[in-house]
Amino acid sequence: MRFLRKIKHAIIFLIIAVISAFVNAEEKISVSLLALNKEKNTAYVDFDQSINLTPELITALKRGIVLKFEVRFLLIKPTKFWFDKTILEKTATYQIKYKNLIQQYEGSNIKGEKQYFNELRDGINYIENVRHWNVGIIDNSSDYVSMVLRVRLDRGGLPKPIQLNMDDDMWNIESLTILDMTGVK
Amino acid sequence: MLAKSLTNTDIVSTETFKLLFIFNVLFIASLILLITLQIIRLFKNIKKEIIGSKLTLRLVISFALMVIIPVSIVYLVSVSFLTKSINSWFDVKVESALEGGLSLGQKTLNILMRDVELKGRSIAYSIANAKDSERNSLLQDMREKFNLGDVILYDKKLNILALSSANNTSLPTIPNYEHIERASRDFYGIIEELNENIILRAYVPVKIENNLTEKNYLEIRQPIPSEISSLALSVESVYEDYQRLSYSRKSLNIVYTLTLTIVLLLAILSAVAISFVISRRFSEPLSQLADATKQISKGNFKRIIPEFGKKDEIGTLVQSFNSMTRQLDLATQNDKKNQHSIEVARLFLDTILTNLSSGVMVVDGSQKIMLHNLAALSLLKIKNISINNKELNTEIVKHKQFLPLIKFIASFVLGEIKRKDNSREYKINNNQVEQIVRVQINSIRNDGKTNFIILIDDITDVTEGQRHQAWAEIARRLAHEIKNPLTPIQLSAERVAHRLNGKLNKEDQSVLSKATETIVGQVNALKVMVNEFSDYARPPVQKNNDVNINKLIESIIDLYEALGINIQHKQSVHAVMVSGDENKLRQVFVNLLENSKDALIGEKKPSINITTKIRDGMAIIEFEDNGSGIPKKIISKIYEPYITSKSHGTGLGLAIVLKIIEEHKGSIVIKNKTIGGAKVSISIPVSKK
Repeated sequence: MRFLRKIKHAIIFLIIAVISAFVNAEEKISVSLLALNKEKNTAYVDFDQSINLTPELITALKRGIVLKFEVRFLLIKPTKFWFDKTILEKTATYQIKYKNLIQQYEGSNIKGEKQYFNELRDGINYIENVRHWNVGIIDNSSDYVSMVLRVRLDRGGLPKPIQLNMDDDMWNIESLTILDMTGVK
Repeated sequence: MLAKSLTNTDIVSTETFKLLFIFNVLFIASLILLITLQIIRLFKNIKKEIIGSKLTLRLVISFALMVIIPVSIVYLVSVSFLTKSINSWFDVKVESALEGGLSLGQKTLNILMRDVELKGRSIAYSIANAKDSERNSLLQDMREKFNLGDVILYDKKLNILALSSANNTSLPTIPNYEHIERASRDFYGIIEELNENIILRAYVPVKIENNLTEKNYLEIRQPIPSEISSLALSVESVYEDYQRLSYSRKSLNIVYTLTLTIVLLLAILSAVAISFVISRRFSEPLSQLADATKQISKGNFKRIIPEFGKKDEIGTLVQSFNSMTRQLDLATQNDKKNQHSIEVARLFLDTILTNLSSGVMVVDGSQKIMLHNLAALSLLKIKNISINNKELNTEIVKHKQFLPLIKFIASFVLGEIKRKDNSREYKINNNQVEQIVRVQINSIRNDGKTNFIILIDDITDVTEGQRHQAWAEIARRLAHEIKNPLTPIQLSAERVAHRLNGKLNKEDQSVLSKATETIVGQVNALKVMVNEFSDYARPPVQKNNDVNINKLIESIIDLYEALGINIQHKQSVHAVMVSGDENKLRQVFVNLLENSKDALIGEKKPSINITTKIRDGMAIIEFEDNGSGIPKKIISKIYEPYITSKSHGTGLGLAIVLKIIEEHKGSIVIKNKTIGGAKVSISIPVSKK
């Protein structure tokens, strides 16, 4: 602990997120790594995720449906007898879509950078691993104990009829990772 | 709004649609719950046989069917139309055309890429054999010659060896290692979209002279002409839209069908819910009418149905019904009053019949007794009081002496006797006293049946009074007719005796004297008789004074004690005062004492007891003797003139006594004592002073 305090510019909270025992093989999104880095007062998040698209989703992708993912990061301080206090909140999106004209997958990462791939797996790999995501400024005195990372397929980007068809479960792609950092400094 | 949200994404968001959907589902669930509760309540009411519930059920079914059938038809037509319309959007020709357009664009790009490849290979070949100093100029010349965008030569470490660009302002971007890796084997081309433009990026390996292992790389960037680019992108956009729409077709069908189903359910359930309200509004007055009718049938005429101010047929019906109820109530009240009056009249009649001295009995055609009063029972000596509905026969009237009476009634009822001959009189022996009973029957027709009113009267007193009146009339006439010639007869006899006195011989004189004495004696006797007749036939007493009965009796006793008869006078009170004529009352008491004296002739210890007392406002004077009593033969007509057991006398004594007592508003009873002798009881009202 004394060693960590000596680092003035960055206090790195590196927490290896273990895949939850509850996550089964069929999970469409699973987060395998979640880490918070602090450089000066700016917090950066790194996370690795595994996106497994079902054949139906791949078909939909090829039919012009854009798979837009929304990621939401929360830094939370629990409060006794009341709702938890949110210290930091950041939302961002990344997406993958198929370009019929050029017959390539266009990957657009969390920073908005685009890249074209002949193979779907390459495109997914491009958006899966997020590094150095600026999530905002945090005070040194801030006392936080939990990180929450929620990744889900943004149904708002889907065609209207699919959005309204609540019976269709194939579009329910979501991952929620909560990391308790009590005692980690 | 739910339907609108399907087509208008600007106004209604997906979240709003979901909220609306949930709201509608909740609303439908509420309606279903409400209707279910109403149906359960309705069936409970039907089970309890509550009036109007069946009518409500029929109306609900009718109203619901009126809505469900057309709405269902519209729903089925709409779903069919919508499904067909959506399917018609995805025409095979349209899809083929779009695919053709897209394929054309792809092939155009491929041709252009092939062109870039050929040009690239040509430049690579030229540069590979050129000296280092000539590379830039050669690259420039070749680029201009082939009309390419950017041409950049990299070494194996991706350092720029030479560069030629049509647009000098743009800086080259570091190529992707992956692309270089692929290009190391052979040509590698990639098509990219950048700011609504299509760019062909190609990598060509460039051999290095005298070096077989290492290669340089030529990168060519060639923008597609904007006309072709925009057209190709436009076709791609439309194709993708079509594909998305085509992909969403199933969801679109589901959502539209679901929305229409929700609308259908809302319409039907709302109609059913409203039909409950309407049915209740229709059936409520009718239910109330039915309930009121039931109440009225139970006799409750106070049930008034609320008039809701409706001017329709139901309102008129309710008003008419209420009017009828009020009239019925009024009629019932009047009926009750009438019944009360009848009851009062019946009680009055019962009271009259009960207090009537005449016996009244009503029998029907079969001689069953329908009505009777106590007097009838008394007169017929019937002990059983409850004889209604029993036949009038000898079983009820047990005394044999009533047998002729019963026969007469039976004969009259059966029509064996003429209706005019409806009266009979019968003599009945009532405790040794002869009683005259008159029976009169009248037939009455009531409700098609003939009933008979039997009137039974004890006319003993009436008959006796009539007889007394007749005797008084006879006495008055006899006195008048006899008295007038008596005085001339007496005077004539006396004159004959006086004229012939001394003129006849002794024998004739003796005969004459005896004859004239006899005439005078008999005339005197006739005068006494005529006077008694006069007394009997005289007018009623006019003089009323207070008479002390005790004093009067004492003064009379003094005269009789001198004759040696023991007369005892018991007085319970000192003075028994009555209002009347003292002389007449004296005559009564003297008459009674004379009768007792005559009855006591031959008795060893003759005695007369007189008792005077006051009881119930009446002066009671009783004469008792221990004589021979009154012979049974004459006891029933003892008050009639000329009825006497004595050898002398006129037989007018007790008739006069009765007349005087009756004139004093009193009564007299004469009967024999069981131990011997007679007892006379007189009662006269005491004086009010």
